[in-house]
Amino acid sequence: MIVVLAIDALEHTLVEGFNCKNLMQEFHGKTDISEFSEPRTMVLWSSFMTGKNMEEEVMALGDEGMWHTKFDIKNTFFDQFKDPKIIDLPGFNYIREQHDKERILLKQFFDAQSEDEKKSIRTEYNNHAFEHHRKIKQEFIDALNEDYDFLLGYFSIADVIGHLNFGNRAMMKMIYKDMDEIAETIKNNYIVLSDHGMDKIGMFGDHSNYGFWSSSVKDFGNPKITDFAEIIKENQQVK
Amino acid sequence: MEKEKLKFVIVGHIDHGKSTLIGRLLFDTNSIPEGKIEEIKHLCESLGKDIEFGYIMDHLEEERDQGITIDTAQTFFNTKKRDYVIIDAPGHVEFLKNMISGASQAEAAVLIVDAEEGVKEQTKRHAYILGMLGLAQVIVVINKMDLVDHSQERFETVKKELIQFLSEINIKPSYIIPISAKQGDFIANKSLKMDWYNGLTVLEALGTFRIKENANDKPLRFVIQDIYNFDKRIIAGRVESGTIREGDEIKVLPSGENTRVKSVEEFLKEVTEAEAGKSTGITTEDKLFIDRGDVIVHDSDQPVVTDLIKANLFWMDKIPYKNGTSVWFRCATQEVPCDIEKINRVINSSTLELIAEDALEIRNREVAEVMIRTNKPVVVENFNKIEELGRFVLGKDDTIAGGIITELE
Amino acid sequence: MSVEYGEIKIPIDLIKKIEERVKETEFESVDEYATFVLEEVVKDDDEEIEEVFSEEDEDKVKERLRALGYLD
Ligand SMILES: [Zn+2]
Repeated sequence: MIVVLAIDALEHTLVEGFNCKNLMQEFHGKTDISEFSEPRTMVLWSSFMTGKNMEEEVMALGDEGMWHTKFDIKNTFFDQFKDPKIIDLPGFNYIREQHDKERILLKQFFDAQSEDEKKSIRTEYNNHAFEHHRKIKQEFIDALNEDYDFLLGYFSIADVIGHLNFGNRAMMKMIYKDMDEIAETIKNNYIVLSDHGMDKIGMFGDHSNYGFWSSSVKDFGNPKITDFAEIIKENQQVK
Repeated sequence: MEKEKLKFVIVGHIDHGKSTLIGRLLFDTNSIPEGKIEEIKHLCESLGKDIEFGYIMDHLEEERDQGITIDTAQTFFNTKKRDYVIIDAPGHVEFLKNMISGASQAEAAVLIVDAEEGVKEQTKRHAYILGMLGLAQVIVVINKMDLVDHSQERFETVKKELIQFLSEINIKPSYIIPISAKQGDFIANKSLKMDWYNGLTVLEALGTFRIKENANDKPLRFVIQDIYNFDKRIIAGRVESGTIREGDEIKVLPSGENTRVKSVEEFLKEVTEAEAGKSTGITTEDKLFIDRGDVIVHDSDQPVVTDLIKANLFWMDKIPYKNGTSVWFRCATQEVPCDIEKINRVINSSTLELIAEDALEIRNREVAEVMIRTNKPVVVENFNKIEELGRFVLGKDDTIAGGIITELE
Repeated sequence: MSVEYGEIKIPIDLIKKIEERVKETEFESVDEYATFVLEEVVKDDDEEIEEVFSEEDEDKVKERLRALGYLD
C-alpha cells in the first residue's frame, strides 16, 4: 500500500520546531508553489491530483463555486491504482456539509461585533473542526488495516484551527503532535504532503508561500506540488 | 518568614518524559492556575485522547508569552516544606553558560530515563554535564514504568546499566526512583502498582536535599582589594564568606604569615565584625606585606594555594584559544597570567557531543575540561566548597571564558 | 473636540500627597495627574484584551482570507 498523509497548512518550521519526527521522516523540505498567484487550498490540491497547474480552471468557478470542485478519477493519478481509498480530499471527495459550515462560522466570526460573541463562535468553530478530525482520524486508521493499494488521508485540522488560533502555539503544538502520532501508526512507506504552510498574524493564521513534503525513501529536493503525481507513480512501479 | 527555596534542573533524553514530569509536579502540587487544566483536558479530549501532562508547560509558556501572568522564565511549585524552582534549560548552551558563569545556579538535578528505552547516548551526555558542574545532589527517575508493566526486573536492569555508567563519571545518585509521570506514580504519591518499591517519592526525595549553605556559615575568606595608608594602615577587601572579627587570629595567603585583627573599620561607624557580602577594612597587629589579591582566612579551615588547577571552562570568545597562549586568570581580586597546560576534552555545548580529547584549541561556545597553570600561586577552592573562590574567568582585555574549579591537588 | 467631565471622590489625605508630588512634576494640577494615572491603568487593561483579538490583525487576516477565497 502506498500511503499519502495529506495535511492542509502543515507548516515546515513548526514540524521542525515541535520535533515531529514521524512527520519529518528522513527526508523533508519545502515545496515550490511560486507558480500560483495565491496559495489557495482548492487550487493546490486539484493541481496535486491532476499533476497540472489547475489555477485557471478552479478559479473560473468563482470564490464560492471553487469549494465544490470535483475532478473525475480519470483526470487524476489515482486512476493508476486498482483499489485506491481517498479520504475527504479537496477537489475530489471533499465532504461538503462539513467544510461549508467551517466557512460559514468563519464568516460569522468576522461579522460578530462583540468580543464575547467572537469567542463563542470560535469555540463552536473549533469544536466542529475537532469533531470532524476525530472521525477522519478513525477512518484513516481503519483504512490502514485494509487491502487498498493506495490510501490518501486528508486532514484539514491544522488549517481550520490555524486560521483562528495560529497565535496559540500550545494549541497548535497539540495538533501537530496528534498528526505526528497518526503518522507513527503508518507501517508502510508514506509521503507527507501539505498544500501550503502557515504564517502568524497575531492570534490568527495566514497561508504561507510554500508547502511541506517528507519521505522515508528519497530526497525530492524542492519539488512542485504537481510533481507528486509522477513521484507517486514511480514509487508504485518500484514496488 | 520566607520559605526556603531549592533550585533544580531536570535533564535527560528529550523523549524520556521531562515535560510530562514537570507538568505532573505542577499538577500534583496544585501549582497550575485555575481553568488551565480544564482547557488542556478539553483540547486533549477534542483530539480524542486522555489529558497529557506534557502539554502543561506549553500552555503556561503561552500565557507568559502573552504577558497575562507576570513571571520569569522559571517554573515554581511548592510543598509545605519549601518552594521549588525548576530552572529552565532552553537549549543547553544557555544553561551551561549560566551555570558556569553563575548567572543561575541549580542546587540539585533530576536525571530522567525511559524504562522502555533505557540509557541513551543523550542520557549519558546529560549525566556527564551534571558531573562537570559538580552537582552532587542527584535523583535518577526511571520513567514510563506503566509501559513496562511496572516490572521490577526491567527497573533493575535499567538501574544497573545507569549506575555502572554514572560510577565511571563519579556521580553517585542519592535516589533511584521508578515512576510514571503520566499516571502520577511516585511523583507526589506512592503507588500500589509498584509494591516492590518502598523508597521515597520524587517530592520526598527533593525534600531531603540541602539548600545552598548560607555564605555566613562557611569558613572565612576575606579577599583584599587595596591597602590604604592613612593615619593607620587599612586593608580593604570583601568578605566573600564567613565573618571576620576584631581579635581574630588570621593567616594571609599565599604568603602564609599569621597575625591578629586589631580592628574592623567602617566609615563613620563603630563595628567589631563584618560578615559575608560586606566590603570593609581591617587593621592588623603586625605590619605584614599584604597585596591586592591576597586572601585572609582563619587557621582552622584553609583554601588551597597552588599554581595548577583542574577546571571546566565555558568559552565565550569568538577567537578560539590556541594551545600555549597566555591569558589572565581572574578569581575574586586575584589577577595573574596563566596558560592552559592541557585541554583534556572539549564538548559542544549545544549537542553535548564530545568534540575532542587532548585537544589543541577551544572554540566559541565550547565547554572544556582543562588543566590551568598560573604564573604564580593563587588562592583557590573547589567550586563545591566555596563558590566565591571556586569560580573564575579568563580574559584578555575582555572576559573570554568562565570557569569552575572541580579538582585541586 | 470637547470632553465632558464628571466628579469622583478621593480621600483628602491622598489629594494632599498628590499635591506634593505634582510640584515636582510637569503636571499642572491634581486633576491632570490623576487623569493621567487612571488613563495608564485603564490603557493596560485594554491592551491585555487586545492580545486576544486585535482589530488590526483581524482586518489584515480578513483581507487575506478573502483573497484565498474563504470569505466571499
Ligand atoms: Zn490549505
